[in-house]
Amino acid sequence: MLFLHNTSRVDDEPYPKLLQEKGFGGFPSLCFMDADGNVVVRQSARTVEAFTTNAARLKSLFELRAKVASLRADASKSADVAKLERDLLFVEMDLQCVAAQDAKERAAKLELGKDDLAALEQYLFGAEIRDLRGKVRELGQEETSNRIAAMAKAGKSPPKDQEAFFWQMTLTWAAKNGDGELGQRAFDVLDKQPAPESMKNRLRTMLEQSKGGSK
Amino acid sequence: MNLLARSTFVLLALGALLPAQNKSQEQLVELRKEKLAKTVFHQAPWVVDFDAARAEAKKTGKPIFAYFTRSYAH
Repeated sequence: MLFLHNTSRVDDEPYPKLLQEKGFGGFPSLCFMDADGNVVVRQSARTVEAFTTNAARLKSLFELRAKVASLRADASKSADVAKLERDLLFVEMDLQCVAAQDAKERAAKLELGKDDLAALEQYLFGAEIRDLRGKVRELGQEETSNRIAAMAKAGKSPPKDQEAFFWQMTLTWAAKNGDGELGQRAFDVLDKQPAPESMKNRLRTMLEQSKGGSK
Repeated sequence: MNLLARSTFVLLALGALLPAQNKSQEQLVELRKEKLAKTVFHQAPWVVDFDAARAEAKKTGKPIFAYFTRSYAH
């Protein structure tokens, strides 16, 4: 089932904010959704290989969901279902297709070990960042960077897939507010990743600004 | 995804916040027509109605593959 959504800014456009509502912020964005329109797998690369890989992940997820649903109906297999419920939750977390609240509620019913709990906490933090990212337009860049910087100042570090957004927002805040220490932390992460020299220069300028250089 | 790709994504995201460059509704309608007329969107049965896509997915039991694009900035 192929669905094409075009953000046109025409007044009569149905679902004008669908892109943001589905947690995306740029064009083009691609994903698999279930029949209710919930995003199940996000596709970062526009390649046949990525499509094939994601289609396989989607198939595995749907099979796991079906298996769990089947076992739930059989009270004699409660021990099996508990393990599969845990596996399903972590597969969905890996695909980022489970809402934070839902993940919390489901996790509360499972006996998770220390590592699982740490992974859950990191997932919930990532979900919080994704939520903010989806609200940049509504909140404005300044408020978004305020909130992200507050997280960074609290010592939090984002999941890998949210690093660029998180630390760019943090560096933006640090440059504006003259927080050299925070600016350095953000810069150190961003500087380790490949980027064109123009982008590196921009980051260096922001770092200098955070340390009291010209703004 | 490397920083370049991520940065591009963030810049695109921020670009999405910009107003539609003071284009009139008539211009935006024209741009929408041009976008949807592209050959690539006629080489496969793309559904542009979200409600219809979900209804069809429920009926067939198949997932939805969604492609988000824009026409206002071209």
